[in-house]
Amino acid sequence: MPGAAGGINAIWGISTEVIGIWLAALLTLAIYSFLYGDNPVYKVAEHVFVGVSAAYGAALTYHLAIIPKLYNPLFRPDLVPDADEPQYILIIPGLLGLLIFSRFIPRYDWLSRWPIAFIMGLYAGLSIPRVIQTNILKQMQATIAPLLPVDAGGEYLLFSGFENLLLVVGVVCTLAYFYFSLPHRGVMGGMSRVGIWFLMIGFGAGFGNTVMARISLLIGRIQFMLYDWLPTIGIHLGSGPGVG
Amino acid sequence: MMTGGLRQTGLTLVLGALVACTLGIPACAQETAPQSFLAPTQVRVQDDEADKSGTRLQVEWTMPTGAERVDEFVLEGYRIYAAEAGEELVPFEVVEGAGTTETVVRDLWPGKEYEIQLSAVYLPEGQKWATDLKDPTKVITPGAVETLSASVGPYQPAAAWYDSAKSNVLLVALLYSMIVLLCFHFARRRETYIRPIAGLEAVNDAIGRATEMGRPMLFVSGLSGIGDIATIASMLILGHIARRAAAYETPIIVPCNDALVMTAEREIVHQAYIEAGKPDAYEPQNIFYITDSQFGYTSAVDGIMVREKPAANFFMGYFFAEALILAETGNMTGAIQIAGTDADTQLPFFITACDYTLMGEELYAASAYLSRNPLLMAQLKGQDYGKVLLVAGLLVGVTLATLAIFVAELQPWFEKLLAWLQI
Repeated sequence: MPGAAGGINAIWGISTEVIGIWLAALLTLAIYSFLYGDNPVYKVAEHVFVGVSAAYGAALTYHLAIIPKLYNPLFRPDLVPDADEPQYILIIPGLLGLLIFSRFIPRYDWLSRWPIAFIMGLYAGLSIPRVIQTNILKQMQATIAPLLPVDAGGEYLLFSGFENLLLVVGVVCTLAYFYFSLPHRGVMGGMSRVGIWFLMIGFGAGFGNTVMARISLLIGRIQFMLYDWLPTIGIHLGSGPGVG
Repeated sequence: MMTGGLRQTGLTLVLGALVACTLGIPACAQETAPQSFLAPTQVRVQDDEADKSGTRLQVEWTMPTGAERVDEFVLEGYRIYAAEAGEELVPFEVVEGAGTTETVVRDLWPGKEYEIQLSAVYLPEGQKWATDLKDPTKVITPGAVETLSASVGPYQPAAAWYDSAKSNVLLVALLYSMIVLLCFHFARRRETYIRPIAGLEAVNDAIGRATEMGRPMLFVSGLSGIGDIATIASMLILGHIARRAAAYETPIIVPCNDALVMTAEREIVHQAYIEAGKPDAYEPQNIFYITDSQFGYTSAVDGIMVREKPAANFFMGYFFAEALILAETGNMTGAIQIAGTDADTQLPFFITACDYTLMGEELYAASAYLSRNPLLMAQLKGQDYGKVLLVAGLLVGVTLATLAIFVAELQPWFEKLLAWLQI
C-alpha cells in the first residue's frame, strides 16, 4: 500500500489512503442513515457535503475560469498560448460578470438583470437551431421509412414493415397527445389515448433500464465497503471483483 | 478562401534529415534517418469547403515512387504539423496508412494564417503503428523514423457567414415563426382553447392545501442552468405560484443550485409579491443558493423536506439522477407533489413518485395555461399548428418511401427528401 504508516503520506502514523477510505466509508454510512430517518449524523454529512462541494466549486471556477479565461488574457498574456498582447475584448464579459455583484447595492441591483438577460438570450439563440436539428429534422429523418420494405433479393420484409408502421403510429399519436388547442374527444381523444400508451411503454422501459444502472451504483458502493474498508479493520472477504 | 500559396516548392528538402526525437517520437531519439528515406512532396493545402466554421484546412500530398519501403523500414503513415506563421510547428493530426494522401487538419482558428508541414513515418518492419493515448498525434512505436517535407503556407481557414447545409434549419425556423406570428395576430379576434392539463389544474389545489395546513411550499427548478428552456419554463411557473403564495401569505422555499438561477428567481418572486400587493411579505432569504454539486444539492433539499415539512413540493425543470431521490423523499413526508420536466429519462421516476407530472411539452405549456395570457395562448396554438405540419410532412415522407419501392421514378424524390432532412 503506498504511503506506508510513518512515511511522508501519513498523519499520526496512519497512511492518508487509509484515512481517505475511512472518511469515505463513514460518510457513506452517514448518508445511508437517512433511510432510517433524519438524524444528527446525516445532518453532519449533509452539511459537510454541501460546504465542501460549494467551496470546491468556487475554487474550480477561480482556477479554471477566472484566472485562465479572464485574468491571464487581460493582465498576463505571456502565460496564454497564441496571445501576444492583452485581449481587451474580455473587459466586456468581465464587466457583465461584475454587474452580478450589484445585487449587494439595493439602489443599483437592477443592473444584475443585464448579465442574466444576456445569458438567457444567448442560450435561447443557441438552442433554437440545435432543437430544430436534433428534435425535428433528425427525428423526422429517422421516422420516415417504407411500410413495405424489400431486401436485396426483392423479398418483402413484413416484420420490418410492421415495425416501421408502429413507429409512425406511435409518433403521430404521441404528437396528438401533446396537441393542446383541441378537445381530446372523438378521433383526437382516441389518438391521444394510444399516444399515452406509447409514452408509458417507453417510460416503463426507461424506468427498468435506469433502475438497473442505479443498482450497479449501489453494488459499487457495497463493494467499496466490503473490499476496501473492511480490510482496514482486519476483515478480509477476498479480493473482490475488480480489486487486486 | 486561401491567402497563401506554396512558399517553398522545393521538395523533400529534409529527406531523411530529421528524426522524430525532437517532434514527439521518443523511441527514435538516437536514430538518424538514412538518406534513402523519402518525405511527402507536392503538399497542397486549401480551405475545407465543407467546413463553414473556418477551423479546417484540407491537405493533400504525393509520395515519391518507391517510398513505401526503405531497407528494413516500411512507410506506415504521416504526421501533419501546423503553426501560425513564424511560430514553431506542432503536430495536429496523424494519418495511418501509407496509401492515404489527403486529410483534414482540424481545430484551427478562423482567420489566422497557418504554415503546414508533413512527415512520412517509417516503422521497422513487423512493428505495429501505435499512438500515445494522451497525445494521439504522437507515434510511440519503437524505432519509428520520421522525414519532414518542406513547410508550405501561409494558408487561412475561411469561415462562411452562411452555411447552406443548414438552410433546412433556417426554413423550419422561419416557417414556425411565421405561424406563431399569425397566431398572435388572430389571437386578438378570438379566444384560444386549451385542453385541461391535470398537473396544472392541481397547482392551485396544492397551493390551497399548503395554505390550509399553514405549511410552506417547496419549489425546485431543476439542475440545469439559466439558459436551459426547461429552467426558463419553470421560472414562469414559479412566478404564478409566487403570486398565489403572496396572496395567501404562504411561504415558498426555493433552494437553488445555480447562482444565476437564484438571482433570477429572486427577481421573479419579488415581482410576484409586488403584483399581489404584498411587497413587504417578500422574504429573499427563502430563495437561496446551496451548491452546484448535484448530490450535495440533493442531500440538502432532502434535509429541507424532512425538517421544514412543506405541504406541497414542485419539481419543475431539467433533472438528472437526483429526480427519484427528491421525489421519493417528498413522497415520504406526505407532501402533495407536482413535477414537470422534459428530461425523458427522469419522467418515469416522477410519474411513479409524484401525484401529478407534466411531461415534456406540458411543462412549456404551463405558463400559457396558468396565466391565460392571450399572447402565450396564441404561441401555444402556433406550436400545435407546427405539430400538424410535422405530422403532414411525416406522412408524406412515409408514403413517398413506400411508393418508391414500387415506382422507381419516385426514388430520386425520396432520396432528395432524406437529403434535405440531413444535417
